[in-house]
Amino acid sequence: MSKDKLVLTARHKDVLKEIGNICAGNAATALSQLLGKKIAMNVPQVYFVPIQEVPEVVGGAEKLMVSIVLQVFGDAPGVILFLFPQTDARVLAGILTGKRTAEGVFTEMDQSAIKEAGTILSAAYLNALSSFTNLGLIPSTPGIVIDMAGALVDYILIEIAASSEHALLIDSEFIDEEKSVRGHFFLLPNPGSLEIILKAIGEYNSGY
Amino acid sequence: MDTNEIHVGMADMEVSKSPDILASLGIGSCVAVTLYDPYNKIGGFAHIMLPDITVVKNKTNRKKFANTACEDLLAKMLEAGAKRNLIKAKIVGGAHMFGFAKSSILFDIGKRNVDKVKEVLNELNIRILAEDTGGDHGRSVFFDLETGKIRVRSVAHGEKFI
Repeated sequence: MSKDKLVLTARHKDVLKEIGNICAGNAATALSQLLGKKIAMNVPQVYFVPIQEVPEVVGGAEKLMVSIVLQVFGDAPGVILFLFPQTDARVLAGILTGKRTAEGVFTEMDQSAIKEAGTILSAAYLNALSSFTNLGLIPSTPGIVIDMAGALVDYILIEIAASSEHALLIDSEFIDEEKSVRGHFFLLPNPGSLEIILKAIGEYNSGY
Repeated sequence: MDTNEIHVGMADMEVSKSPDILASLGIGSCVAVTLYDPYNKIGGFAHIMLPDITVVKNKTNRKKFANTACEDLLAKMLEAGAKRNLIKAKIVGGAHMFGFAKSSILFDIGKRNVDKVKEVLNELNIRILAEDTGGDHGRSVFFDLETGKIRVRSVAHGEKFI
């Protein structure tokens, strides 16, 4: 496939949105069980943008974010990026550990709790995607980074940039009932994986 | 004259003159290569993502790679009126953002980017005056074409000038 001739049609976007919806729904259920509170989600957004624009999509290049990153192995490799503003990550850690976190510091325990939430969410998301597409997808162990959003994503984009000028992001937003935790969950399929996913659901034809 | 802050995105480059500021926000494993002619106050800024154009299939954007971007940036500087023998470089970025390497492409990518930039600048006979590279944190870079100074801002370490 010559990646840069690839045009994502409106129909493809709709299909990806629908898949995102199903997968994120599954993940929201898992997260709400983990946290013991209602988790709402917004209709997923699908972005197919030049690599340079990705930092804006994830919240702005300089925005300080807490991010959990997992690699996706298997039939359609990619990356999962779960991003929170710092204050929201603190609330999330507080809910999970049962302790209030002091300003400015994320303890080992907080980080580990946030990673755990990322793992469970990713597993639930990928599980749904797997059964929908019949593709084998396995998440790696999570990494956590607290830094500027631009710096977090450039690492991930470097790999995509080696073969493409564009990146695909399926963005799902999770919000708890008090609206104190808002997180964005991004699935970034590798350039070749988009074709694999579309093929798996019978939406790929050589006409685009 | 008004100062313009010109933002240079990933895999892009800009050449301008004093009093402009060339900037990139949130650089992680990418590298900002800056060239400066202090006499004419002309500066160039390339935001590279990968070390080597010769090893990848997709060669459409020369600004993405250390080797081609450095060459092209130098050419653009000369075109803008900079003097070859006055041009010096500073480099920023090349952090190691995550503990894991996703693939061979990403293995130690920050360091490989920095090493390649140094190698290419050396081949081009351009001296590197200063660098702020490596570590595990992101950086924002502001290159002041009036002074040639670079302000580097990070979450972990605040601000510094090189």
